[in-house]
Amino acid sequence: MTVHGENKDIIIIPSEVVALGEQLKVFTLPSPSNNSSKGRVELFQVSNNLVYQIKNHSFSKGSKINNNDDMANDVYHYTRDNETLKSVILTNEQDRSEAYLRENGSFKFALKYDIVYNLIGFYYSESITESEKEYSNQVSSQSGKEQGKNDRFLTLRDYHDLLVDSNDSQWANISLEVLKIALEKISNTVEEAEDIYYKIDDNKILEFLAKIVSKIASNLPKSIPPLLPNSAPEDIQNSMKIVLATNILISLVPKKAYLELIKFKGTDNTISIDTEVKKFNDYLESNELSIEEKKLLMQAAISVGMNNDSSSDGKDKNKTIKKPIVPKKPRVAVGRGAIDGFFKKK
Amino acid sequence: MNSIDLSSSNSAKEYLGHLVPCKIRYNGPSDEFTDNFNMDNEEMEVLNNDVADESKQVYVNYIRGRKIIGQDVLPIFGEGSKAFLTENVISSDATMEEEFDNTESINAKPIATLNKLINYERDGNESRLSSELQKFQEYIELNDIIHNN
Repeated sequence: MTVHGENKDIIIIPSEVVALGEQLKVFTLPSPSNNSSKGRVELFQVSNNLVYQIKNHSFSKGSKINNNDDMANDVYHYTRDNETLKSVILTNEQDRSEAYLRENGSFKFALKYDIVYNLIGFYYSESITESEKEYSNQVSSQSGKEQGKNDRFLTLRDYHDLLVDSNDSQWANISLEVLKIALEKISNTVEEAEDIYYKIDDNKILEFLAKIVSKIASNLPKSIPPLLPNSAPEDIQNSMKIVLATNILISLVPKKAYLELIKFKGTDNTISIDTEVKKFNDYLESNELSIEEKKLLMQAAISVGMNNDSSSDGKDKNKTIKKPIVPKKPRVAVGRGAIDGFFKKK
Repeated sequence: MNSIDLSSSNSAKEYLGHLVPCKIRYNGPSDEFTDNFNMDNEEMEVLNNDVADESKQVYVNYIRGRKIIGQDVLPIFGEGSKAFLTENVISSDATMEEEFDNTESINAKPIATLNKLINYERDGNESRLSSELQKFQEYIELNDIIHNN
């Protein structure tokens, strides 16, 4: 067995998976967003019916959304082949003579993953996009009956077969138990002769997603820049959080699901996203000028930074060439005076 | 990667992982760390003097004479989670399953546990260090909300 740095990976595993100590079989499923710009998700399932996604991360890398700011402020630099300036040194603390170097500075980690999003992706499988930008276009292009939509109630096993046959063969790696947990979240069920039959339902999906939106909104990541100044009224701030939280789901659900979600009127158990979106948009419209002003200011701030940046790598930087300063030797005047005989020159 | 074998991870050695802010164009073993790349304990004591939370403490090291300051990434993943250094063993399944001949599978076998995975930035760039770690933590918390199954 050859030992090379590139053959090595760093992977961070959650405690509950470490405790099980199993051989984890890794498989992939299509991106639940049906967005062709996104790759398949890499998953594994453990014996206690939990599914995890394997992700890759590298520090010293800016996110795309901050690209302009980062460029303006000269925050990030990359290698000529566009890699992060990051490598790994691995040291054995018991025996320092044993160490490894790895050029690639990324590492892998496993996070909990809810397979229900893939079921939603399957349900809206006709809603395919190429980029997230298309989500802002409110017209949904597909027509006709969705492939994933099923008029009939199906047993768990039949649903599993349907997914393997018509969505992706790798559904075979998902156990019936895991599928059951996911189906129960978004399906209507019928019990007959001790068998439970499932049918995925639009409203159940939206209800499920709206609950997730509420949870995200009340725990919104602090680093997400607010869309409104602090002076905006509190209820509008809350609507803004709902809008941001709903938009976060763009990376995870198909366009059709997103478009229906922003028009979702809510149920007894969930908020009405439709109301919140309207409230937010109405406020924006009535304060359009100030928002426009803010945008302009932002744009100006960015472009000022860019100008500074571009001139700093210009060649005129070293225009003034300093002459080396030669320190003058103090010269003592030699003359003839009254006490000159005292300091006799040799 | 086709599988990760955690069933045999108990024999693993203990390592430290250092994510250093430079590109090292080399992959492989090295014996150059026998008596260099040691943490600056004195400096760390000064810097960590008013850091109450142990998981937030900073590490100071030097790479080719340049001071780098780092923070452990692992506490973000919660207590009990573990980082492994794995070696990817490529094997052919042809003998096992004839119908899938020529199917190569990659099995990641842990060869060491990483007690820490320290992300470093150069001295003076600590703001980037803390902002990236904060965002990464936010990302993981967000994932927990979305995938709380």
